Formats: sequence, C-alpha cells, structure tokens
Amino acid sequence: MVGDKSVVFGRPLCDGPRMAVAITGMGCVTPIGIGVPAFAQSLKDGVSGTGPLTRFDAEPYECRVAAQVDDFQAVDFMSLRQARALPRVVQMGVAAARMAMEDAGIGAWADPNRVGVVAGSTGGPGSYHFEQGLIFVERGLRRMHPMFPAYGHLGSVASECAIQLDAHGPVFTVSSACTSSTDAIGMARAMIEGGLADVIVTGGTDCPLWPMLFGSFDRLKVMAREFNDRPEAASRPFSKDRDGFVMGEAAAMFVLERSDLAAKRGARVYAEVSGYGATCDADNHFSQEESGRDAIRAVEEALRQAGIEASELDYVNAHGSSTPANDSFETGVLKHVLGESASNVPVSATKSLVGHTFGACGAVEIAATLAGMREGFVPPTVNLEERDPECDLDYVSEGCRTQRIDMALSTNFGFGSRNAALVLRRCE
Amino acid sequence: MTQQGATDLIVRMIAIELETTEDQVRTAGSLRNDLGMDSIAAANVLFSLEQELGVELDLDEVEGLDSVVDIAGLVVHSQVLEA
Repeated sequence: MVGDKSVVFGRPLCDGPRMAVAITGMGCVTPIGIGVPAFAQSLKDGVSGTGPLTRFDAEPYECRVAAQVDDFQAVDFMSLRQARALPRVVQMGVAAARMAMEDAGIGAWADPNRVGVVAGSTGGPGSYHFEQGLIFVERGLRRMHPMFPAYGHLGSVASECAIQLDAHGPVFTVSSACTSSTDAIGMARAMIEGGLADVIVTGGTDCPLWPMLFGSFDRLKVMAREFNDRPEAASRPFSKDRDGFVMGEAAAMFVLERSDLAAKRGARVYAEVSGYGATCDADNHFSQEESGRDAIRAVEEALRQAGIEASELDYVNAHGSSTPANDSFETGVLKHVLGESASNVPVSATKSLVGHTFGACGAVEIAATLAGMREGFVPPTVNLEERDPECDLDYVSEGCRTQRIDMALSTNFGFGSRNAALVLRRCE
Repeated sequence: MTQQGATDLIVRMIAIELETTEDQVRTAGSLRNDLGMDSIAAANVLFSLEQELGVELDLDEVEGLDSVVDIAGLVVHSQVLEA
C-alpha cells in the first residue's frame, strides 16, 4: 500500500555527473489565458477556464463541460497559409513555442544545428485524423486534404515547430498519455545533459476536444457529470464530491538550454530543471497500481537527481485530476515521499482551473509553477469546498497564497500506469 | 460568382499558399518558375478553392497548372459541370 516504507525501490535510474539545464523562456495557450502574463494573472485570481462544452454538440454526453480555448487565433502566430492548413493541436504548439523563443531571446547567437524540439502530445492531430477519415469514407481519397501525410502524424507537432523556428537539431514528439509533456521536458533535459543539443524547445500540446474521443471518455465515466449546471465548479480535485476530470485543451512550451551558455549570454533564467523521474507500473491501462511503488519511485528519483530531501520542497504541483481514483492515490504517494513534512508543503492542482489537458497538462503545470516561482505565489486549488477524508494535505484551497518558492516538484500520472516527476530549482 | 470574382479569389489563394503578394501572383508568367509553386502547393490551392467555392475540382490536373488562367479554367469547368 501507499505509505509502506518497506517497499524496496532498487537502484537509482540514472547516475553520473550532470550538466545543469536552465529554463529561459516560456509560452502558453490555455483556457485561462494566452501568453504567460495572462495565464499567471488568472492563476492568481483563481479564474476558472471550465465552461459549457460548445465545440460540438454536447447533448449526447453525460458530461457537458469542457475547458476550451475560445480566443485562440492561429493567424496571430503564423502565416495565413499555416493558420488555414495546420491541425489545431499543431497551431497551438507552434504558438506556444514561438512565445517561448521570443521570451528567451533566442537569436542569431544560437547555432541552429544545436537547437532541437521535443514536444509532448497524447493524441496529436487525432481530430484531424477523424475529420479526414470521414472525408475519405464519405467523399473518397481525392477530397482529403493534400497535406494529410505531412500533418496527420504525431511527429508533425514537433516537426512543424522545428520548421517554423529553424531548429536543425534533434526533433521528435513524445507520446506517453498524460505524462507526455512531463516526459518531453525530462527527455529534453537529458539530451542537453548528454550533449545532443544546446537548446531545446520543449513542452506539450493537446486538443482532445473532438466527439469520438470525448465520447469514449464519457462512456468510461471518468469525466465530471454532476456539474453540468455549474461548469466552473466541475473540476474539483481532492474534493469529497469530485466525480471526474474536465477535458481541456492547451499548449505550453519552454526553452531549455545549457545553464553555462544561458549565463554567458546573460539570459534570464526562470529555473533549473534539477531532476526527472519516469517509471511505469506495467500493471494496467487505466489506473496506477495500488501500492504506488512505481509512482513513489519516479518522485524519489527526481528528488535524488536534484540532490535534495523531500523536506526541502516549497511546493508541489500535483497531477490532481479530480477523478476519485487519482486524487486519493496521489495524496498517498505524496505523503509517503514527504514523510513528516507532508503537512508543511503546499500542494495544489492547476487542473482545478484549466481542466485536464492530457499530454499538455504537465507543461501547463510547469508553467504555473514557474509563474509562482517568479512572482512569489502558490497557485490555488479552486472548488475545494469539502475535502475527501483521504485527501488531507495542504491544498491551498483558500486562494492564491503569497509565498516564495525555491524548490518545486511537479507530478503527473497517466494511462498505461505511467508516472513522471520533475523538480525545479529557482535561479536568481 | 463572376469571372473576375473567381480570378481574384484564385489569386488570393495562391498568394496565401505561396506566402507572397497578390501583385506578384498577378504578374508572374509562370507560377512554377517565378514563384516556386510545386505540385503540393498547387494541390493545396485547389483544395482551398474547393472549400471556398463549394465545388469539386479535378485534382488529376494538378501537374499541369502553371498560371492563374490554368486554374481559372479548372474552376470554370467544374462550375459548368455542376450547373
């Protein structure tokens, strides 16, 4: 069971000297703001991004709530040709990546051959597949979009970013369900550490709001169903009456670069990516293995790489999906890892505000953590009116809390019983 | 849609696809040689025109398209057929 200290975790996942990796730029497209300043302000204000599902006909579904990005205009970030042709998930990823590059001030000094892209996405252009599949069946091959072979695969998320950012280094998409962007950031860090690139644009993008996928999750009864008349209250992590997640769409991208090079050019550094742990329960497709053994191992590995004790953490941004299964499980994992300091470390769930954005969620949560780290606040968990007795940590339910954050942990868990954790260290 | 209206739309769609100006499209002798339009770009232009006009164009002709007039001919042909 979670909390059993007798579990044997085996040897560490990664040893050896490490090259520090800095985050020097970030950009995001979220249901509560496009661009980090707007996103950060909404976090502080506790603005909910969940509302009625209007992207398509919601009537057939038990859940009629979603976290949509309704004010995104692709043409604000790319040419009209690209805005007309690219799948939405790629557009949002490119937009976030462009914002991150601009924020980082990546310019002519960077050798394009040493700049890569590692994007995370669960489904990538899944809705594009759906639409083009319908055209194929109903109207034939000739009526399909000519660029389907180029845009219709998961790799297009990263390759389009590379094309638009002139990144000639390693470029690929990581797809590992809800840990996709956490893993992408972890992989990007490892690649810089390993000398494969000096700069990597990384993070995640996902747009799961399309009927077939939404309906499939609705059938599984893992999405919120009891709050259709109060959609802003539907995502309620750690609450006694939580009844599922709220599906959302988002993108968040970052510029990671070698710390020494960032220092040399005088770049502003948001934080250092100090640790990354990734494990799999190898147990089942839908939920984590009950003992939490591998989830704990992922968090402990991230802490070990960062060279800190759990008691040194100032903040945990939890996966906090608002499903009955996840939140109590995750609480158990965190209590095990944090030990005696469990009651002293604030833990909050950004999904209470932006819903569950699938493969983008880890990146969005890193953006929230970095915003808090930079501006001195802990993002809140909203809608937590009566907590689940099994969820007994400090969830920052009273609203945004003023507090300095020097060390932060972000956790994500995903289908396929995947677990991932990142540790961020504030840099002055 | 008038013939002039169709031509203007074609010019606009080519300019968007090739990321150039409408003036350059209008003055280009050869879309391939002067503006670098390849078969994929031509297919994208036809696809955009199908979306805008609600017609179905003969995509088999994509290899032979090299001017606004060529594409206008396809559009006129399809509209005649649909009428």
